[in-house]
Amino acid sequence: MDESLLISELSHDEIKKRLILNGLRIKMGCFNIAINSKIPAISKHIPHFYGAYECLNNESFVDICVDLKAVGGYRKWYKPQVDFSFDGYKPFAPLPLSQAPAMLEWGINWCVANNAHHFLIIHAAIVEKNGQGLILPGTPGSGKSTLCAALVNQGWRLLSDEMALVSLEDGMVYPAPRPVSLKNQSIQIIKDFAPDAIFGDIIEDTLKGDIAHMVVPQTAVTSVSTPVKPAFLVYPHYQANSEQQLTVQPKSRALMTLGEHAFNFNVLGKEGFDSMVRLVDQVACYDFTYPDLDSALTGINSLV
Amino acid sequence: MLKDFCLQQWQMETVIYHLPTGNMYLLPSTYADILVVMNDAPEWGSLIKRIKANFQLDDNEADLFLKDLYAEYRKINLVT
Repeated sequence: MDESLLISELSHDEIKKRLILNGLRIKMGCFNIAINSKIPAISKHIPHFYGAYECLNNESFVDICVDLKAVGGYRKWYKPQVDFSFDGYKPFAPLPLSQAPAMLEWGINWCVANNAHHFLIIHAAIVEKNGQGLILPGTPGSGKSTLCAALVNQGWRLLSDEMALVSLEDGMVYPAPRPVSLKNQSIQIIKDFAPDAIFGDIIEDTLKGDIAHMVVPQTAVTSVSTPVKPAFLVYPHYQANSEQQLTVQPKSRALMTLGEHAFNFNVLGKEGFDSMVRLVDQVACYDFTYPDLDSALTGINSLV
Repeated sequence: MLKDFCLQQWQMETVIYHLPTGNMYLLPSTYADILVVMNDAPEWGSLIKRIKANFQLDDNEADLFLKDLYAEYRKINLVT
C-alpha cells in the first residue's frame, strides 16, 4: 500500500494543477472530497487549512465532488462572483468572488448535511476529552463555535464545529474535522484567548457577517479515524450579564430539542427517531447558560 | 403496538413521533397512555374508566374530557 501523501507535501503548482484537471481529492474524516477550481483564493485556502490532511490519488473514490467557478460574462470585470456546484447542481446563489473560501466550506457542509444519511446529522459542535464526546447543538448566537474553538485550544479534540455525525449502526460519533468558522466578535475573542491558534484572512461582509476560519489542530487530523462515544449533550446559551447555570435537562425535553437540531431525522424516519432516543439515553443532558467565555469553560470542564 | 407512532417514555413525560407527518409531541405520560388506548382499542367505556382513575373526575366530567381530547388529537392527526 502506498504511503499516504499529505496536502502539505504537494507544491503550490501541483495543487493548482490538480484543482484544475481532475479535482484535488482530500480525505476529510469519513468523507473523500474532490475539489475543482481555478480560483486563486481556493488554491491558497487549501494548503493553509488542509496541509495536514491526506491527499488522495486521482483514482480514489470520492463521496462528494464540488466545483467553484468564477461567474463569466461582464461580471468577471464588474463585481466578480463565484458559483458553487455539487455534481452539477447549484444549491446557492452566487457570492462575491472574495468569499470563495467561505463558500467552499459552507458548500461542503451543505453536501454532507444533505447526503450523508447513513448518519444522524446534528447541527452541533462535537469535541472529545478522555474518550468522552461532548455534543454542543446550537442555534446561531448560542456561542457554539466560539466555545468549540476555545475548548479545542484547551486540549479537547475537535471532531467538527458544525455537524455531529452519529452512526445509525453503533451510535458512535465519527470525526470530520474541518476549519472552525468564527464570526464577528468571536474572531477577536478567540485570537486573544489562543494567540497561537492559526487563522486565515478575515472574509468581510458575508451573509453571516465577518468570517475567519481557524486551522484544525494537528491532533484532530491525525486521530480522524477514531470515533467517539457521546457522553454529554449540552445546549449552550450565551447570555450577557447572566449567571452561569449548568442544569440537568430531562431526557424527554432533550429529545424534543434534539429534533430541532437534527438535519435529517425526518429523512430517516423511524430509524432517525430511534437513533436520537439511543443518543439521549446514553448521554447526560444539560442546559447551559453562560455570560462569558471563562465561565463557559469552567462549566464545561467541570463535566470531565 | 401503534403502527403510525414511535413512543419513548421517560418517567412522567413521553415523546411521540408521528411517522406520517414527521411531527414530534411531548405529552405527560398519562396522556400518552390514553392515546395508545384510543388508537389500539378505542372502547368508550374503558377509556372513561381510565380517565376517571387518572384524573379523579366524575362520569360527566370524564365524558367531556374525553370528547375534548379526541377533538384535540384529531386536529393534529394523532387519532382518526
